Amino acid sequence: MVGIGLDAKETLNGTAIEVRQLHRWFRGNHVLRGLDLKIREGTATAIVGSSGAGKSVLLKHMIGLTKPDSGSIFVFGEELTGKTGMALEAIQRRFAMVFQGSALLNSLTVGQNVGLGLTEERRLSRKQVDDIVREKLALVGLEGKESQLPGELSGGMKKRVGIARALAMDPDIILFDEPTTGLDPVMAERIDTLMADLKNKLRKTTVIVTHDMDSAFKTSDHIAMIYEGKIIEQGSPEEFWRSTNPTIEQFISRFKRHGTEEGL
Amino acid sequence: MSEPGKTKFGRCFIALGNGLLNFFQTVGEMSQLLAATILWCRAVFKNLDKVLPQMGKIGADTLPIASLTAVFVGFVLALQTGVALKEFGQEESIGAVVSLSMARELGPVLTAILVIGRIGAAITAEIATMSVSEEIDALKTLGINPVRYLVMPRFLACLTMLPVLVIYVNLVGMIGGAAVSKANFGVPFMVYIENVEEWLTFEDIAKGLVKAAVFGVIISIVSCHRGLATVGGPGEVGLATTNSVVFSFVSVYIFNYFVTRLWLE
Ligand SMILES: Nc1ncnc2c1ncn2[C@@H]1O[C@H](COP(=O)(O)OP(=O)(O)O)[C@@H](O)[C@H]1O
Ligand SMILES: [Mg+2]
Repeated sequence: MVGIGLDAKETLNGTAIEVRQLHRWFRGNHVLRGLDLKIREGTATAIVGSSGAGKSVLLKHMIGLTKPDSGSIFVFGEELTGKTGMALEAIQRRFAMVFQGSALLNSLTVGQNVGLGLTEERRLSRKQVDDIVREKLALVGLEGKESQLPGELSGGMKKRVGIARALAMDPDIILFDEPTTGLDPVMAERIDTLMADLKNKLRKTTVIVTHDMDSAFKTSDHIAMIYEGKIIEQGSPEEFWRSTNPTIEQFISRFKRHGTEEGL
Repeated sequence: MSEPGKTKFGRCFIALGNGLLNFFQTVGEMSQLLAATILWCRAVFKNLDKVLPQMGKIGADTLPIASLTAVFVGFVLALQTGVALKEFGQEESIGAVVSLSMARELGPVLTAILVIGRIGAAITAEIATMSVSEEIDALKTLGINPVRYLVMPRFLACLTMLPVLVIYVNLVGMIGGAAVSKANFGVPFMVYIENVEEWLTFEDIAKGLVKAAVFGVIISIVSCHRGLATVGGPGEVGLATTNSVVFSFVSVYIFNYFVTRLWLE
């Protein structure tokens, strides 16, 4: 399970997010069943698991969009659970989230979507916001698409606009919900590089939900797998690769057959 | 004794109880939303970029149908009362009947019905779509309060535009009445107008406008709440919209009845 190297790392990085004994039901469906997870500051954590395992639900708890039935979540040492209004918004300001379905506002243009948070904050001038919008759109390969409407874009393009919108807020922690699902391999590669840069160059904390093991191995320092509402295994990509846990082996076997260990 | 859930009567009773609980919970949530919305109205001047387009939209979307409704209701009112009044040789009183009916009841209630169908339904459909496609969640993560960004502008637009629409509907209805009075009963325009002036008081008009403003509050809060409360997939949007329209109708009728009774005492 957790390797020896981790303790040494832990002294270097504080904890950005800590999830303790998180339980969540949806009607009769016990989705999260006492989940524990620590996300260290300045690291990239990949959360993997089959579809319907509760990955998106977990991310929404981390950012305070939904409340646990029991358990608690700490963000930079501050308890998120139970906070409402201004106190909650203050913590949420440290986050940005890239939604699985991109969640762009359909009535606004691409540029307005990317600049929405900044425009509504009213701290920056219109010109400053426009500059940031242009820069972030260029980062995701969508130069000059400011005036298009989300309805005119493909799913993959919308997803990249969602990434640009999250980056525009310049948060400390970025949660990515399946950022490369549905992208072509070239663009997926580009987004993987972008996420790696966020951590390596800008020292951001990233949490990446994915079922693309290729992306998980490439972009993260730490991989955690959700199974039956708990983290059943976590560790460095190497540890994960060598895991003898049958559920993990089954999960990554398809990838192992295609990739090679050198490909890591 | 058998458990209450086992008998037919018991099951009905439980269903009824759940329905009532749901209803009161919804009304409670709506009251909370109303309170939060009123608090956000302090930020109206910073958010005029969202309030003014909503007002414009209400005007543009309802004016054609409001005009049509008002003029035909004016026609019919004058026609019906004209026939009855003619028996007593009182045709010149058509103006009073038409104007009082319009100002006190028909103007506000008809306008509310139009706005529910045309605007309330659209508000619920739009916000419900945003809820199920995670756009509301996205707003929150961008530090944008959905009540400020979505509800407050629609609330203020409905609150202000309903009375404006009612004034317009009253006016058009009375003009329609005047036209029929002249064409079918030979009442000159001046006689009609003098009769209106004699009977219609400022109080009648003002009470109608107060009703209209409250209808605006009801319609906007119900429509926004039903939209925000929508969970699940895109299939839920249609259901939420129907639900919202029915809820608005019932609330408007009930409020209208009780406030009218109160004012008549
Ligand atoms: N708002 C909700 N209401 C009811 N059930 C939900 C809701 N959100 C998620 N679920 C359920 O929780 C489970 C996990 O969902 P999710 O986190 O989206 O899975 P994934 O790991 O694919 O992201 C699924 O069974 C889903 O049906
Ligand atoms: Mg998901």
